[in-house]
Amino acid sequence: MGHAFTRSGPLAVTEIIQQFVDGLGRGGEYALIALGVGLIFGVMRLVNFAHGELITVSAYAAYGLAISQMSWWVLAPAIILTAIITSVAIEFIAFRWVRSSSDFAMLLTSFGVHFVVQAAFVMYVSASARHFSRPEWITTTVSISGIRFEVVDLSIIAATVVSLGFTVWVLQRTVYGMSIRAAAEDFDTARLLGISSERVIRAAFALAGLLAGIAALFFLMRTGRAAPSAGLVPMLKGVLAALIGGLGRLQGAVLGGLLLGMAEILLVSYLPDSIDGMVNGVIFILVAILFVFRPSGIFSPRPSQRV
Amino acid sequence: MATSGQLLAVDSAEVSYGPIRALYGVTLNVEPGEIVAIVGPNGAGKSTLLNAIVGLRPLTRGRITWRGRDITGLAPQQRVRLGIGLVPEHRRILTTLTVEENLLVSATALPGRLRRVRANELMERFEVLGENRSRRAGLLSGGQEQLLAIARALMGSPELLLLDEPTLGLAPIVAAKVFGIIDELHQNGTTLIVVEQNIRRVLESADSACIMRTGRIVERQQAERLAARTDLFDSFLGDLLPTEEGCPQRPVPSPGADGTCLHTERSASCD
Repeated sequence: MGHAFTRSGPLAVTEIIQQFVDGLGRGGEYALIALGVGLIFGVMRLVNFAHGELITVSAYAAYGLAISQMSWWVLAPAIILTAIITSVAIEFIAFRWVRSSSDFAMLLTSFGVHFVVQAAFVMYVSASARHFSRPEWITTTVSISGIRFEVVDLSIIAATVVSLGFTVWVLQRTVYGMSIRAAAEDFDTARLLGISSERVIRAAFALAGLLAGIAALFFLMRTGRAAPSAGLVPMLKGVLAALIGGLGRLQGAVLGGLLLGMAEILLVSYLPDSIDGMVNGVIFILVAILFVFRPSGIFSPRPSQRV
Repeated sequence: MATSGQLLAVDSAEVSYGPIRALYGVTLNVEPGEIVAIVGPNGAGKSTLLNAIVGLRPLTRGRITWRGRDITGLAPQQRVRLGIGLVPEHRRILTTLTVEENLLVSATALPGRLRRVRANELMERFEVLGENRSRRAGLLSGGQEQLLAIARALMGSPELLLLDEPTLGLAPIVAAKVFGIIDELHQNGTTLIVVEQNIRRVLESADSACIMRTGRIVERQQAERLAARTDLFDSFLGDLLPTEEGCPQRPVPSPGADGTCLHTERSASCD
């Protein structure tokens, strides 16, 4: 993510606003991924390390369409749709069969999916990254009250707000959403009420796929790059954000994502140049310190049982 | 074996928790419209039996039939849709959902509009729920939670309602109200299986009662005949009868070579 405002600028307030917007932009992506991670953890007690594959598969779908000269108006819905289909397919192909096994078996399965997808792209496409053109407006900036903002940051913030609003609406106002929340709190009780575990899990994976797809869209617009490990770092950041907020706490996942984004931007801005390559390391250390004081994250989840 | 008039038939059911067997060849037949009380000391397998009937605990042997149809392999949500409801032990209210949401997520077989109508009916019937419809269920009192648990199970208008310790932890006046609801449901033709520690009171409502012990039903009797069996109460269930202070006592699982509970302590419901 770029900084439109230079660190040597004269106004501290504008710099803070600039960094705040940058942080929201980056944090918004993490929040979208973390929300998906939190949703799946809620209904399956699974920390899904295969969540990043939604971005990886979407990246190659985008690459395939881009080399066919498709515009971003086609790529954008295709990326989101690919992430949704991939998410539901991973649940159907991999997790369904180990759902009643131990949490550890599911965790290993998620790692297995991660490595299988990664290896498949290495073997059948290429080990090296494939590049495709980014939208022209991606580096465009706009000036508001003398502060320059990147359009992509503002787009991400707007998309994040709309996506989170939609997610809140689904979870709060629809029976499907209420069922997901019920299952996230106590799966056995949800089943006793007649809630279909199949439908709830499928809905959670589809919703998580939608959110990851939106995050992937901006990630790919920014990078224009498809690689076998494209989803790894976003997935790790999403899991970290979900942990910061408290696994299973959906509002915590959003907050965790935003906090993580803010922390990254601040560290990039204020760490000495000689060690600014250590941002990720510092982030993980800070999160470890947080867990010393808040072992279950900022919002401690209630204990509940899996299927 | 199930006969044509039976609503539910549990046939030689066995359930294990890992290496520990909790039910040993339990057989139980339930006719439409009757109340069956299940009594026995802690650890006798009462809750396990209810959980097996509703599908939360898979059988390792035996089978369960519903109106003659084998439902042994059905998931809980499928059994609920057939007409079996459970009010679980400790109520298991969804604390992060509101009272209304707790009702709306129940009876998912009903179309959305009918579900709202049904939820409104139940919130009128149980006024305290209507007064707290937008309140998070985790903020309700124990008695209110129990009413919500019952209302939630009634959302799907079950033919068979299983109640697991429905008065556990409730003040006597609330417990009396719960028994009033049980009697009302019975009068309306609902079939009930009630696991209850207040034996004397549940026998007043029940048609028949099963005594469970160490994972087996050791005896089934008409409720009024069992209530008159003071010898049985003294030797086996006496420690569960109300004390002079009106509080039932709970057995401490310990002990005897035959698995009976030898010691008692005051029930939490008396505190």
